[in-house]
Parts: sequence; structure tokens; C-alpha cells
Amino acid sequence: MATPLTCCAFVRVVREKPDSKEFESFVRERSAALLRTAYLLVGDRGHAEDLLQTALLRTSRRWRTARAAPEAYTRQVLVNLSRDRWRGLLRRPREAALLPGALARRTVDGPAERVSQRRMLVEALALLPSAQRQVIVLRFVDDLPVAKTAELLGISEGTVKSYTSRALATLRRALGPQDLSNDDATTEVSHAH
Amino acid sequence: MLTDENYGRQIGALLRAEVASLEGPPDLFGRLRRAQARRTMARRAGLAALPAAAIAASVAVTGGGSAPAHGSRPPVASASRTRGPVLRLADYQIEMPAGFTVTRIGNGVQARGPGGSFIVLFVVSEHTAGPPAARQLARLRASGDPAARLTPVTVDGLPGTLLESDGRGGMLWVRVPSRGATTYLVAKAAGRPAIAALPSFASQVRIEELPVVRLSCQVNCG
Repeated sequence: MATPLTCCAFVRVVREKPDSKEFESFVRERSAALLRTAYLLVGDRGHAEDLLQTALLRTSRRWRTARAAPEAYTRQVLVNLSRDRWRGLLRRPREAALLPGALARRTVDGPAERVSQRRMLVEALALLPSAQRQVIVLRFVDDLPVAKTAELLGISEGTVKSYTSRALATLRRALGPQDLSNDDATTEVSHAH
Repeated sequence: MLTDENYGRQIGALLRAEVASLEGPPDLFGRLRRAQARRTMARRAGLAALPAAAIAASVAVTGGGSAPAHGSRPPVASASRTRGPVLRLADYQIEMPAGFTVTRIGNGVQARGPGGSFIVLFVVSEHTAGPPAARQLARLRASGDPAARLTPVTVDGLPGTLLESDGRGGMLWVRVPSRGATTYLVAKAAGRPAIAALPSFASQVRIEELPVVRLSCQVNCG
């Protein structure tokens, strides 16, 4: 017998409403930063927005729990959602890989070189295994310490360090032996060579 | 050579610079509030819709569609190899599998076939009103619902995802990049034959010919 698909299986009960003003202020102040994290985690603007909205909805539903540290709570949800997304993608047909040598392209113009370098970095980041990418984003973009990153990802600190080392080695290979610090965005970083 | 820590900081600074121009979607809070409201409404409507859905299912089996030969249920996939009725919908023409009766429903096309099977097709986009499909799919993927199973399929050369739930209902989501990053072809099916044939059926569909419509809130409301 045919049975139409109903929404009931997928609908969860909304248990609590957030303090509207407090939540609104949180969304207004932190959504851009969280969107940037989501974008770097999934590498797609549309999916990043979807992830952010889902994460914020979950945060709003658990506001009593999340209100003490809403950004940390939302970031945790974002990481979980991005992990689920990558797991889902593994079950789908593989998408076409980058053209060989695409990462090796160089420009000679200075400002264009900066832009190209950042673009290449984002592309190289997207090619990292998801766990390594998460570690790089949380450690160096969100500036979380090793212990916090490990807690967020549910792995040991040793694994975080190992992933960091492997990911940075891959990025070094992808970007080549060029100076990353000669950029407005990196002036705070001291030259070590 | 830079230490890992310093190199990582430089990487972080470059990445921050690359995404610095990304701003949150406009009126995000309003969108969240509306999504929350839709969710609440869906929960209420879902409970009320259960008896109606049961009636619709019984009509489909006893009165709807033509009786299959020898009481068997011919597979939709084989029927779809021959020409079926052509539906004109606004500026679009949609060719459906033979043996299916095609009707236009509020926001898409319904093909009712033998054995009570039916498939509903529509295209949804984030740019149309209603719950964005991508968010729904993300939520389903994230829900961890043990009853939900995801199967990769190909529709019109595009990778898609067949979502099954409980073996009773099936949904097919296919991203349509030509229509924008967050536009999906959605097909929902009821009845095991229709679910089993959904990938074959959808492979007959030319996605460009389907108009973008609002996502119905009767399926899986946000």
C-alpha cells in the first residue's frame, strides 16, 4: 500500500524560545565571523550560509544551554554539521578534481600575486582531508588553542598537533617556498627567516 | 624555514584576509525567525495532516490510476522508456513516462502510475519563497535519523541524492548548478515501486524544462 511521505519523521519538537533580544544581538554581532568559519570549513558560500542558519537555529532552540557561550556552542554545531556534510559527500559520486597544475600557476604582478596566493591557499585548503582542514581553520583562523580545538573536534591534543603538522606540510608543498608574510594581512606576523 | 606555529599563523592571516569581505546574509535574524515559525507551523500541520494523508493513500490504491495487467505492478523504469503524455506548464513542456497520468498540482507536477505509485516533481530555489531546500537537506543529513538512508544517483548527468525514509516514502534531491548554487530538483515518491524506480524516472527528466516553484510545506516543512 502506498503511503505518502509525511513531514513528521523529520520534525523535532521546539522546546524553548531564546531570549529574542539577546539572541538577535548575538546573531547581528557574530554571524559574519561564523559565516567565514563555515565557508572555510565547507568551501562553498551557499552551503556555508545553510550551515550557519541551521547552526543558529539549533543554538536558538538550546539558548538556555548556549547563552553562556553562544559563539562556542554555534561553532561546535558548525563543525558537527560540516563533518556530516563531508561524510555525505563521500557517499556521492566524486566531483571533478582541480586541473593538474592549477595550484602551480603564478602571476608576476605584486598585488595580483597576493590575491592569487590567497586564492591558491583557499583551493589548497579545500583539498585537505576534512579533519585537517577543520584543525587549520580552528587553530589559525579562529585562533583557538590546541586544547580547545581538541575538545571541539572530540580528538586528543596529540592528534590535533599531528593533523596540524600534516596539513601545514601539505600546504607548504602546494604553495611552494614563497614568502607568505609580505602582505597587509600578515604584517602582524614576524619574519622568521 | 618557518616553524609550524609561525607558518600556521601566516596561513591563518591570509585566510582571514581572503574571507574578510564575506558578510552574513541580510536580515538573517528575520530569516531565522521565519524558519522557526514555519517549523512550529509544520509540527502542528503535520499532526493534523496524518488522517488526510491516509485517505489520499487509500484513494491512490483503490481508485487512482489504471489497473495494471494481471494485477502486477509494472516497473516505472521500463514504462519510462516509451513516450508518455506531455504536460504544458507555463512556457515549459514536460514529457512523462508512459502509463502515468500527469496532473498539475499546486507547485509542481504529479505523475500517478500503476499500483498506487506516484511521483511528484518540482524545482525549488533559495531565491523563491518558502523553506530553502538546501537547508532542509542539510538538516536531514545532520539529523542523524537512523531511518534515513542516502543513496547517490545521477539525474540528467548531475549528481544527486536519493533520500529514503522507512522504506515507505522516498525523496530525491538533485542540485541544479545551471539554475544557481542552491537550486534543487526535488522528487518525492510514495510506494515501493515508485521509490525503487525514482532514479530511473528522474533520469528521464530534463531539468531545464521544469519551472522553479515554491517548495510545498506539505512534505517536510522547515
